[in-house]
Amino acid sequence: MRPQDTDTIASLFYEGVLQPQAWHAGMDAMRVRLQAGVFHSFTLDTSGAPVPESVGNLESFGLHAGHMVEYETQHAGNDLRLTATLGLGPGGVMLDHEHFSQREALRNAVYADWLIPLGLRHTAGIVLRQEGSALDLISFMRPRDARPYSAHDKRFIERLVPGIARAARLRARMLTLSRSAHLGMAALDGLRQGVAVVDAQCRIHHANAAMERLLAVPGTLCVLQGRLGCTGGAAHLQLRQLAAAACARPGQAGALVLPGEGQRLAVTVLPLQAHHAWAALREAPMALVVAVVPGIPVGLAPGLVGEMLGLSPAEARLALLLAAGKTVKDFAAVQGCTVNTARAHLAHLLHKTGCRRQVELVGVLQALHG
Amino acid sequence: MQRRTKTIAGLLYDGVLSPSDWYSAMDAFNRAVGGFKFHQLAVDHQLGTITDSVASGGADDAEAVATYERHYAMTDERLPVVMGLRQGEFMLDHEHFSARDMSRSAIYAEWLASLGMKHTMVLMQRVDGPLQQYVGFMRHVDQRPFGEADRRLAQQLMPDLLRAARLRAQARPLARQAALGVAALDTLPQGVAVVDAQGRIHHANAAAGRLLAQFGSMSVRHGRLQCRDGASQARWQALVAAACGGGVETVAAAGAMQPAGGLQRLVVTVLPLKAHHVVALRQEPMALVVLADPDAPCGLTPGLLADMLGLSPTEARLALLLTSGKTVKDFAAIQGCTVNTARAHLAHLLHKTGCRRQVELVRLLQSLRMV
Repeated sequence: MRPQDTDTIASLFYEGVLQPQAWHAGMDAMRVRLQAGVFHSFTLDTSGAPVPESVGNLESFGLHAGHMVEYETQHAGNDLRLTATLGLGPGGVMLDHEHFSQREALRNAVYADWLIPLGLRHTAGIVLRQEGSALDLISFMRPRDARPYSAHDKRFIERLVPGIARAARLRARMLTLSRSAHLGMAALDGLRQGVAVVDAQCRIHHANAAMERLLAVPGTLCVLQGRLGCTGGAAHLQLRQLAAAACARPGQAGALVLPGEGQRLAVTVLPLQAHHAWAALREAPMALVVAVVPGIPVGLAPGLVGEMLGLSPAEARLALLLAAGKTVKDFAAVQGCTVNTARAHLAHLLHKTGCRRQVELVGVLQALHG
Repeated sequence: MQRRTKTIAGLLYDGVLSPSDWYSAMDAFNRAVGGFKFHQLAVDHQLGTITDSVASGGADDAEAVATYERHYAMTDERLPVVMGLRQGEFMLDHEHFSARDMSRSAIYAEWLASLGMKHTMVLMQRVDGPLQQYVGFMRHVDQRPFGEADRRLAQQLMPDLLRAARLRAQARPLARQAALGVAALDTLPQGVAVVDAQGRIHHANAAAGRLLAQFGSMSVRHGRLQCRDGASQARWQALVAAACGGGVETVAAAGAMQPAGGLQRLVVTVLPLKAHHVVALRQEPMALVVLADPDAPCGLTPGLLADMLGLSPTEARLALLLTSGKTVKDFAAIQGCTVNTARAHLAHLLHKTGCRRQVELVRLLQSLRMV
């Protein structure tokens, strides 16, 4: 085997950092060279954290999900090969015949009841990565009648391990990064408030779904050439100043209220809490712009409020009326009941929501959905 | 030779997600070819902007790079040659310019010479539409031009350089998105967490940690968010299950609760996490949990509020007192004025803020409480 050939295989694993099919191709190239029947690349993690998808050709060798379940339930806990591989630590090449005799193997249920009946036997296993509670492993299983792996095979694997291990670390970190990016964006998009990340010049670097909705309708906030602005001249200047102040060092928070048709918009500008894990992005300081229509969340139906806070329908209607600035008397009139009955509803409502005053109730309703 | 290229290739791949390793890779590459300084640039020719710049040296060099980018880049005769390179190609300057050309060029005679540099080798790492990324290695002014050994080394490392540069280009927007998202969430005043159907926390922002520690009605055990109080825990589990879609039949639903047994009131809203994001998370349904303090003090100072809403200092104080649940009478007592005067202040306050009722004013201030 020439060095170029191992380089070609290693390059497949590097491509596999983002492409599972390339990882598969790398494993398959190793399988061919090792004259193995089955390959398997998988991750063990007890923490429940997400792991890269396992890659293998188990199906093409006639192994089905049932066989894997059988392995996991009956053999995984008692697998000599796994114990030997883990014992070597990351980067060590485990060749089964170097760790246990033929007799030991044949007495072990993994070989006797699972591998051999499936037409497999000699196994090579390597721990590629051990980080926290996560372990990346690869294994190659030769057909039942094939000889054990040779010293030559071992050298071949050993030459490849540093590159594959590096690719495995890169793959795991990419996965973490990708998840973090998607979770963060999803969480922001789930918020009721419009949220935008802007720089000192008010250029928008990210806007969440609620902010996009606010910007899509002509109103108080707008986008001009990628920059966040206000339709009113004075407010526009004020917003620019707030963004600049929040991006200064140390950053200063500020807020303004934008008058709009029918509803006002409360806009808060905060210095963005720089996250240092990726500080190397060399980002200039940025600001977070939070825009929210004052009052209870829009579209909060009495039914939903009732369900959310465990209120009766009448209590939920009363809560929304009070939060909208109406009085208990107004409620009695709308509801067609006596003021005393309305007061009784109020008492229940305050009790159920743990509020002592009407003002506190507004706080609770406003806190729904953040 | 073989070992040195392996080391550099390793640094290149480590540099995909680690800028310091990427720098080390460029530095090691530079030293391997006998360079004095290096400069890696990514240029978007359509926008005419430099999207990435990594250069050797410290602050002085950074200044030199900035000067170059401002004043010399447009007259640099090396650049037309570089821009003509295809991905994976490289150029050795003495093959394009004679000694005479160089002695007459502003770049070579003035700029590079002033920095003690001369011969240049440029490798085209990445071409993606209008985007070009390349690295230049510059030799010391009294060194010979780059030669055959350097060419061989560049050829050997090129596949790894190209692949690592591509992976790095793919990782950067992801890293940026992750950093922006995390920073934005950490800046928000309300607690935000993403949990799965079992209540396991997959992400929690800074405020979530603060609120949980402060309120005591919810806690994290074995990575799961849970309520101290038994009945609240049952409701919490039901809410999370519902937001995650519950069974196959049910539709994901939002809900809210106030967990019992805490030191202070806490409003917990549980929402389904948007599906288009969940696809990227391997279809595992998750819930968005928003923790909010309904009694949060405004955190607004009277001065700031006065600036924001155009109020007098007294009106601003009144507004803040009302928001914290005090009455106009309370204000009169604190201020040492008559109730009638206090009422007059209230009337002005409502007029200036465009509110018709006290409760409207409270709502307005509460939406500003994130400062």
